[in-house]
Amino acid sequence: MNSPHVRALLSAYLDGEVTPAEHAQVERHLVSCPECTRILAEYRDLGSQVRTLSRPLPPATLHRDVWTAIEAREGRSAWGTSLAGLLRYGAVTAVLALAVIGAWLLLRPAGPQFAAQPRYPLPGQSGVARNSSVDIEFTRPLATPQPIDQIIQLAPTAPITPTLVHGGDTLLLQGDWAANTLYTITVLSSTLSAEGKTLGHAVTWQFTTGDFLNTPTATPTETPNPTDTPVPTDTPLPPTDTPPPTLPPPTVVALVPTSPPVVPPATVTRAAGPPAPTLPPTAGRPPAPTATAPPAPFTVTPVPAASATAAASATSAVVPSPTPPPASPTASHGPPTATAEPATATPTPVIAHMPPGTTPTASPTPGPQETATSEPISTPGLTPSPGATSTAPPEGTPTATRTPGGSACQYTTQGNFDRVYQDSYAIRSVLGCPTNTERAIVTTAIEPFQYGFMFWDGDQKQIYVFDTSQMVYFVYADTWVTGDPSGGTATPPAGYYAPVRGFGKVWQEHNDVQTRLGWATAPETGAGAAAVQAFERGSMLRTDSQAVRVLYANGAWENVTVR
Amino acid sequence: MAEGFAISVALDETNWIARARQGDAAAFEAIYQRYERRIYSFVYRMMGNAEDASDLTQDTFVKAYLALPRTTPDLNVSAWLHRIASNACLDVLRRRRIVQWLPWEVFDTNPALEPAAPDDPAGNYLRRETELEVQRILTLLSPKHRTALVLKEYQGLSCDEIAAVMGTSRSAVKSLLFRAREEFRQVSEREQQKGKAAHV
Repeated sequence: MNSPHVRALLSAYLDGEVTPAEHAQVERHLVSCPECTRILAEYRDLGSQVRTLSRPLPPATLHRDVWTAIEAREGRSAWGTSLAGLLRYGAVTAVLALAVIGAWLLLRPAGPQFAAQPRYPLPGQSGVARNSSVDIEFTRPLATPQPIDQIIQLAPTAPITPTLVHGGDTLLLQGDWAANTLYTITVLSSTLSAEGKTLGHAVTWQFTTGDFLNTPTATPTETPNPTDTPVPTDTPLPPTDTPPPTLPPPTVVALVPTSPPVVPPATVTRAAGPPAPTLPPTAGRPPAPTATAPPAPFTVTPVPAASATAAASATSAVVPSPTPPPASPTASHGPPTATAEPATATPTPVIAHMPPGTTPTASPTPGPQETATSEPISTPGLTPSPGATSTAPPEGTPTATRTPGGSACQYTTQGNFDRVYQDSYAIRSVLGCPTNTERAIVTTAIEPFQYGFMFWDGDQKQIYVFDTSQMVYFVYADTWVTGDPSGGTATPPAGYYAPVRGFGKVWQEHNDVQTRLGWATAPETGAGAAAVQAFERGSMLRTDSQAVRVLYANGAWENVTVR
Repeated sequence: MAEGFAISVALDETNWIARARQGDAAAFEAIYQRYERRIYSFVYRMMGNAEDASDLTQDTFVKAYLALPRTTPDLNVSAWLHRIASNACLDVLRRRRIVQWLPWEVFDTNPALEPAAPDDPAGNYLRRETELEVQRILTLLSPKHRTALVLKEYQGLSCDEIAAVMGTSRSAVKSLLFRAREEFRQVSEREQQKGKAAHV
C-alpha cells in the first residue's frame, strides 16, 4: 500500500458525495488497501441493516389521539394566541396588520378565487373501490346548467353520474370503475363558476382502482323517512338476489329543477331542509347550530342531449338513481329511459340547480326533504335489502347531527354510532355527515383469522375483509351461492381452519386476502346485533354490541370499543 | 411510476399545504395520512420503543398543525415534519440523559411490525433478532449521530435534505455521517465482544 488511508472519505464516497478527484483517489487506494476495503464493506453492511429494518405500524388510536389533541389545543389557543400576540407586539403589530390589510384590499383579485381540489380519491391513491364516488371540491359554486364534459375529462372513459352537493361547490362523480385500472381525471379549465369565472388552469390527478366494492357511502335516494314525503307502502321490494351493480352508461344526465310535484319527483339527490333552528336537539347533545343558506336542491334526470336545457323543466322525465343501478334492469324494475337507450348519440350530462323557491317542501316539518322515488323504476340501483327496509328503525323527524364545521347534518346517528361520532372530533372531521340512517344487518357471519377477520353482510351480499395488521379493509361482493363448493382445497396447519362458503371463495380467489389474513383461527359464527351507517367519507359498522368499526373512505379503519 | 405522475403528486401536495395553511382540516388530514407511518417509523427508530414513538409522533403532527399558518408557501413538508420530529426526539433524549438512562427493558418487545410470514418461523425469529440488535446499536449511538444515520439510511434522505432537517450545512452532514458510521461500527464490535464474553 503506497497511498495514505482515505478513511475520512469512505463515508462520503459511499453516499456519492465526493468530487471526481476524490472519487478517483478512493478507488485507487481501495485497490491496494484491504483495511479500507473492509471498512467500506462494513459501512455498506450497516447501511443495509438499517435500511432493511421494518416499518412499525402506528397504533390504531394514534390518528384519533392526534385530532383530539389538535382540537384541545385549538380550543385553548384561539384566544390565547391572539391576546399574547397583541400584548407582545402591541401597536407595531396593529399598524403592520392594517398596512397589510390595506395592501391586500388594493391588490386582491377583483373577485373570489375559483379553484378545484380533489377530495377523494387522493392523487396517487390506489385500491379505490369500484363503486367509489370521486369527490371534487370547488371554492365557488358551479354554474348551472353546465355540460359535464365542460368540467370533467376522464381517461379511460367510464360511466359516471354527476351530482352537485354542498350548495353546488362539491361535485360527486358516482362511477362504475373498471377493476385494477389507472384513471386520469382532469377538471377542465373551462369549468364555469356561478359568477361566470372559468377555472383558469386544469387540475389533473390519477388514482387506481382495486377489484372490490366498497360500502355505499352516499345513497341519497334511499327510501325516505316516514316524516318525509310519503312513500307508497306497496312499493315492491327488489329481489334479494339482485346482481352486483354494474352501471350502464347513462346517455344523458341532467341535474334539473323540479316544480312542486303533483306526483313525487322521481329522484331527489339532495334537498337541503330549511334552516335548522327549529330542529329539536338530541338529548345530551347541544342544539344544532343554525344552518345558513341551505344549498339548492336538484334532481338527476336523463334527458336527450339536444334538449338538455329544455329538460331543466322536464320533471316527468324518467330518473335513474345516482347510485349504480343494476347491470340489467328487468322489465319489472322499469329501466330508466337512459339505460333503455344506451345508444343515444353523444350523450352530454348537464348539471343544473333547482331554482330557489321551488323546493318541494310540502311538509312543514323541518328536516330532510328527500323525496320519494316515484316507482321502483329508479330504485333498482339502491337494492335495499329486506333487512334494510324492514328493520331500519323508523325515526321521527331527524335531529340535526353536529358536524366538525358546526353545521347541521341531514341525518342523525343513534346509539353506539352516536356515542363514537359525537365523542370524537377526529372521526366527525374525517367521516363528514351521515348520508342515511343506520341500517340493521339481519343476516351476518364473522370469522377470525390470524391477522384479521371477515364479516358477512348477508343482506347486501357483501364480505368485509379487515386486516388488523395494516388496519385496512376491503369489501367484496359475495358471489357464493348454494350449490357452489362449500370448502376450499387448501389444507390448514393444525389448529387453523380454511374458510368456507362465501368467506372461502373470497379467500381462495384473492391471493392478497390470503396473504393479509393468514388462516382462519376459528369457524365462522353469526355476528349478532350488526348495523351499518353510511357517511360522506366512510361508514360505521357494528358487528357486536360494543365494537364499532369506523371505516374511512381511503381504506383505513379503526376499532372503537364503546363501554 | 411515470415521472409526470410524480410531478402531479408533488404539485398536489403543494395544494394540500396551501389549503392546510388556511386552516382546512381535511387538507391537513390528507397530509397526515401521507406522512403518518413515515414519521412514526422514523421516531420509532430514533427512540426504540412504541410508546415514545406514538407520543412523539402525536406531538409532531399537533405542532405541525398549529405551526402551519406561520410557514411559507414553498414549504418542503417532508423535511419540515422530519425536523419537528427529530427535534422532539432530541429534546426527550437530552432530558433523559440528564435524568437517567433508560434500562434496556424499556425497549418494546412487541412492536406492531409487518405481519410475519406464517410459514417461516425460523426466518421470522432470525429477522426479529437482527432487528433488535440493530435497533439496540442505534439506540446506543449519540443522538445526533443516530439522527443523521436514520435519516440517511432508513428514511433515504439526501445530504442536502438532512442538512435542512438538522439545521446545518451539507459538509457538516457528511462529517456527521462519517462519525455516525464509525460509532456504529465500534458499538457493534463492543456489543459483539460483550455477547461472546457472556457465552464463555
